[in-house]
Amino acid sequence: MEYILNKTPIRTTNNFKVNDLKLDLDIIKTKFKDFKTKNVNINTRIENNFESKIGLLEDKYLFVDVFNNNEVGYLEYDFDNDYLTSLINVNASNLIIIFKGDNAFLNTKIVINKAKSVSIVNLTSKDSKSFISIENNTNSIVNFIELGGKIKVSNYYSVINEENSINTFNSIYLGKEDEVLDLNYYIGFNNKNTKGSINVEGVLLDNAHKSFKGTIDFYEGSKGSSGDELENVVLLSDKVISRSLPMLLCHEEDVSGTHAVSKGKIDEEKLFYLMSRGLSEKESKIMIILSNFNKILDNIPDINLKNEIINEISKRL
Amino acid sequence: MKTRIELDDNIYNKKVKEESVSKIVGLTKEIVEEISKEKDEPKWVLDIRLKALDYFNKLPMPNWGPDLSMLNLDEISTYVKRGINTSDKWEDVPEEIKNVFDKLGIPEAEKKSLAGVGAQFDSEMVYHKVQDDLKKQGVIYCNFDTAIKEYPDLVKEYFTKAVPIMDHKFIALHYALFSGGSFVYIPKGVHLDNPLQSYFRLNSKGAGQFEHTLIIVEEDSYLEFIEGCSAPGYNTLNLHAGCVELFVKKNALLRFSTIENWSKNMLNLNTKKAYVDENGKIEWIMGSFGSKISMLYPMSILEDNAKCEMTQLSFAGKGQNLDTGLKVVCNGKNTSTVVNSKSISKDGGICTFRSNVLVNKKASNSKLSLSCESLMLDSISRSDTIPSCTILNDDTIFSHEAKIGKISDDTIFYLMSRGLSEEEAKSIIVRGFAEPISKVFPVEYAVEMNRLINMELEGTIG
Repeated sequence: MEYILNKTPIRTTNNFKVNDLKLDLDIIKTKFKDFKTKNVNINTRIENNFESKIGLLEDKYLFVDVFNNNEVGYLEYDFDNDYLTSLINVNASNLIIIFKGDNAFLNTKIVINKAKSVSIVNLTSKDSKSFISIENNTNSIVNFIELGGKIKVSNYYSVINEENSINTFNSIYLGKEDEVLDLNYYIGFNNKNTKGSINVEGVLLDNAHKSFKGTIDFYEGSKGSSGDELENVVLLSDKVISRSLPMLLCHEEDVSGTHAVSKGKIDEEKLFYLMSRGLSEKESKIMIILSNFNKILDNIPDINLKNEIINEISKRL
Repeated sequence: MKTRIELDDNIYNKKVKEESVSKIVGLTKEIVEEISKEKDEPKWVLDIRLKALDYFNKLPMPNWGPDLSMLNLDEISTYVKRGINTSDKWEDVPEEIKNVFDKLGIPEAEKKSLAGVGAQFDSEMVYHKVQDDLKKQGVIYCNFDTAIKEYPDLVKEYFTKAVPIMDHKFIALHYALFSGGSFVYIPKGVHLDNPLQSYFRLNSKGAGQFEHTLIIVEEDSYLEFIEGCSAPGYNTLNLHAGCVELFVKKNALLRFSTIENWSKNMLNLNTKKAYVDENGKIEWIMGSFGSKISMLYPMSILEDNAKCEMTQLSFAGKGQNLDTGLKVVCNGKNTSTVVNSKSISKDGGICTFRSNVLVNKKASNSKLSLSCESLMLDSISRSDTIPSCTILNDDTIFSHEAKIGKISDDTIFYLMSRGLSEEEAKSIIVRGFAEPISKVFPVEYAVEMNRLINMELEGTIG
C-alpha cells in the first residue's frame, strides 16, 4: 500500500520531491512484547487508533507511561524480525530510549511531558523500517541518534509556549547502501524571549537517499526570541542523494533567526594530516566524521552507550 | 533638519484613456486563433499556441506558494488591441502613450546611457530601436512579434527551448497568449558597452500581459539587459504571465536586471530561465517592489565552468505577497553560484525567499553559496525563507545562510543622537540595508530603486 508521509509544514515546488515521502509498505503485525527497563517505572496497555506527525496511522498500539526520578533511566526494545507500534509518554528526568534489532518494523511516537534530557537511540539495522515521531512539550534537551535500517523516517515537533524557555534538538544520522532517510524537524516559538535550536550532523555513503526538512517558526508575539538551525552533512559517495529544506518562517520583527546548511566531501586537509600520521584513509575518514558527531554524542549521559554508538557508527562506515 | 526626499508617485500611476481600445476577454481556442490571426502569424506559431492551451487546460494549479484562487481568467482581458505599429521614432508613438514613457524617463535614459530601447504598452510593442552601429555589427533587437516574421529560423531554433510549454500551468497560459516582448541576438565577439532596455507597461484595467523575451548572447559576447515593469493601480486584478528565455553561449556574459514595480492589484506570475554554456556567466539583478502576488524564481542551468550570480531585493508592503527566489541546476563540472538576497516587509506584507538547487552527478566540484537576509519593520508582516537543495554527487560545496532581524534600537539611538528624527533614522537604516543591492544597478536605476524604497517607506514607519 502507498503512503504519503512526513509532510513539510509549508509546501514548496513539487519537482524537487522534498515536500513529503511516498512509500510502499507492507506492515506485518505481531504481538507486542515488553520493554526492558532500568531505573524507570512503566505502565503499559494496548490502546486504539495510533496517529503521529509522520502520518502512518494504525489500529492498535502499545501505550507506555514512563516515570523516573533523577537517575538516568533506560527503556529498551529489542525486536529482531518483529513489529512495534507504541506511544511512549515520558514523565522522567533523564531518560534514554533505545531501539535495537535486525529487520524490525518500528512505528512510535514519543511524547515528552516532563524531562531534563531525553536521548533516543535507533540502532535497528539491516532491513529495519523505523518511523519515530517525537513531540516535546518541555524545555528538555533531546538527542536523537538515527542509525536505523533500510527506511528511517523521523519527525520532531515542539512549540515553545513558556516565556524564557529553551528547546534544543540535536540529531545524528547515518545513511548507507540504498537506505532512505526522511527527517522532518520543527520548532515553533510562541512566547517572548525563547530560544530554540536544531543541530543536525550526518553522513551519507553508497546509494543512500536523504531528505532533511527543518523548520524554525517564529509566531507573532515571540519578541526577543532566537532560533538556529544547522545541518552539516558529509557525502562519501557520488551516488548519494542529499536533499535539504531548512526553512525559516517569521511572523515577528524582534527576533533573531539563522539557519545554515553545509554539504560536501570530507575535508581533504584534515584527511591528509591524519594519513600523514599513519592512519589509513578509511580510519582517517571515520575519525573526522566521529569528531563532527562528538559535540552531539557528548550529550549522551552514559559513556558506555556513547562508546556503543561510536562502535556502531564505525562498523557501519 | 529634515532631509526628506520629495516624491512623485504619480509617475507610476499615470493612466491612459481606453476609448479606442478593443479588448479580447477570456481564454478559448477561438480566442487563441483570433490573436494569432490578428498578428498574421505562421502556422507553426499557432500550433504552439494551441498545444499550450491544451496543456493549460490539463495542468493543475500549483498546490504550494501564495493562494491564487482569486484569479478568474474569464474576467481577464487576454489581448488589448490598440492597433499601434511598432516604430523606431518616438514621434510616431501616440502622444498620450509617449507621455507615460516620458514620465517614466525612458526616452531620456535612451539618450543618455542606453544602446537600445523597447517599450511595450499593454499587448503591443509601441517603440523599438537599437543604435545603428550595433545593427551594423549584426546585433538584432526588435519586437518579438517582428522577429517571428523576420528571423524565423533563429526564433524556431530557440523559442520554447529554454522554457518548455508544459513547464507549469502559467507558462502554458503564456504560450497560448504571448504578445510583444523583445528579441535580442548578440553575434559572436560583440561587446555592448551600454545596456539595452525593454520597458513593459500594463495600462488597461483587468488586462493581462504576456510578453515573450528571447535573448541569445553568442560566444565571447557581452550584454547588459534591463527590464522595467510598471502599471497604474486599479481595483480589479491584472495578470502578468511573461516569459524570458536566455541563452548565454561559451565565454559570454549576460547581466539581466529587472526593476519591477507593478501596481498592487497585479498577479505577477513570470517565468525566466537561462541556459549558460561552458565558461559563460549569467548575472541576475532583481528589484521587486510591486504586485499583489509575485511568484518569480529565475532559473539558471549551468554547464562546465559556468557561473551564476544573483542579487535580489524584495520590498513587500500592505496586501502584498512577494514569493521570489531562484532555481539553479548545475549540470557541468566546476560551476559556481553566488546568491545574495535581501527582503524588507512592512504593514502586513509577506516576503518569501524560495530557492531550489539541484546539483547533478556530473557537476563535480561545484560551489554554491546562498545568503538571505530579511528585515521586518513590524510584527504583522511575514518573512519566510524556504530553500531546498538536492545534491547528487560527493564533491559539491554548498552553503546556505539566512538571517532575519529587526532594526536595532542601538543604531536608531545612535542616529537620533546625531540629530535625525526616528523616521529619518529608520529610513537611513533601510536604505543602508538595501544599499549592497542597489549599488549593483546602473546609476539611473539605482536612483529609481532608492526612489521606490522611499515611496514604500514614506509615512509608514516612525
